[in-house]
Amino acid sequence: MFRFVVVLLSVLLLSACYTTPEKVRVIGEKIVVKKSAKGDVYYDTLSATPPSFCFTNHHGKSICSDDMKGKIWICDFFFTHCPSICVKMERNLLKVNSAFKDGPHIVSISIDPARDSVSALLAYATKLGVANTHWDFLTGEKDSIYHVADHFLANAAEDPNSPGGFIHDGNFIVIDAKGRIRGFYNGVDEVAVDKMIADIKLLQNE
Amino acid sequence: MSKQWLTKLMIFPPVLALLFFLYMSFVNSSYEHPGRVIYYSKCASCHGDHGEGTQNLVPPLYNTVFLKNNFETLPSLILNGMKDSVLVEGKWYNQPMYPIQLSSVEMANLLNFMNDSFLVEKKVDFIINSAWVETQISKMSK
Repeated sequence: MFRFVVVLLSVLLLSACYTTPEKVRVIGEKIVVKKSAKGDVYYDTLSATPPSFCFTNHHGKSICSDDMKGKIWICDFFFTHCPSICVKMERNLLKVNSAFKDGPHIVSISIDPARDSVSALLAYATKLGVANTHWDFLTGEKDSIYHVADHFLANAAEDPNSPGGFIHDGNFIVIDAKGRIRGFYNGVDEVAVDKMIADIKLLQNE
Repeated sequence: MSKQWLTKLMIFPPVLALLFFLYMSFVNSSYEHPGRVIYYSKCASCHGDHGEGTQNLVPPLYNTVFLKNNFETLPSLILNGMKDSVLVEGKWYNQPMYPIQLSSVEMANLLNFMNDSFLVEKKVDFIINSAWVETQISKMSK
């Protein structure tokens, strides 16, 4: 009996040492595509990727989603005149930026391109103290920005009744090196942002 | 003899329960300034948990000359929001502040909190009430 208990306890103790490796799930529906190589036809399952885009950053340089290939990056939608949640979002992004030495690229896309010219974005980035880091503030054609926002499942629209004239959710979207969406995090919630930092660290080790 | 001993023992559970209750109520009674709750829900997201501001985007509040000099105008400033540039501690800030709807009582609580926590040398030495807030608002609207 004593032996049995000892064996049982040691098995239990050893099993506690084994933890299942944490993983960050891929978001979006899988697409099956037909491919052919050397005469063989086969089917491949691809993860949904958000549409590619090219916008202008706060230095007037063109930034495309293809430039981010092979890198983990964070996307968020904001506007410089935003009187409500944006500042909180930027505060949290500053925290993310300082959490990584060679951090993920941050892409903040303005949903108010009419007012957010390149110079307005540069002024904003300078005031935030991040004008010369791997953080891009993008502006571009309004329709294509809203098209991209739709595909990132970001809620963004003009609304004269809300503070600042626009409504948007303050989500941060994490995109992995293969261009797949790996997470949505509430950008005004510090707990969610901490989770995002942890998830990005997991993604970096993938 | 044994019965007496038992009745003496019976006193202990209620006494212990009472002591435990007193101890728990003491432990849980961490006083929170009613204005702090308002500050954290309405102001801290931009002005910071300790009134430190956000970089050069949103001005700090903690122990600023601006807070001290404009203390009487704060009620109407908070209710109406701000669109103009503002000079705080030698720096210009031009991020708009949206109007924040607060009742006079909430405003009084908020101002008491800022007076107590954000100013090393207090601006007012009395407890602000809703009447004081309403007087300041009516002064500014004239």
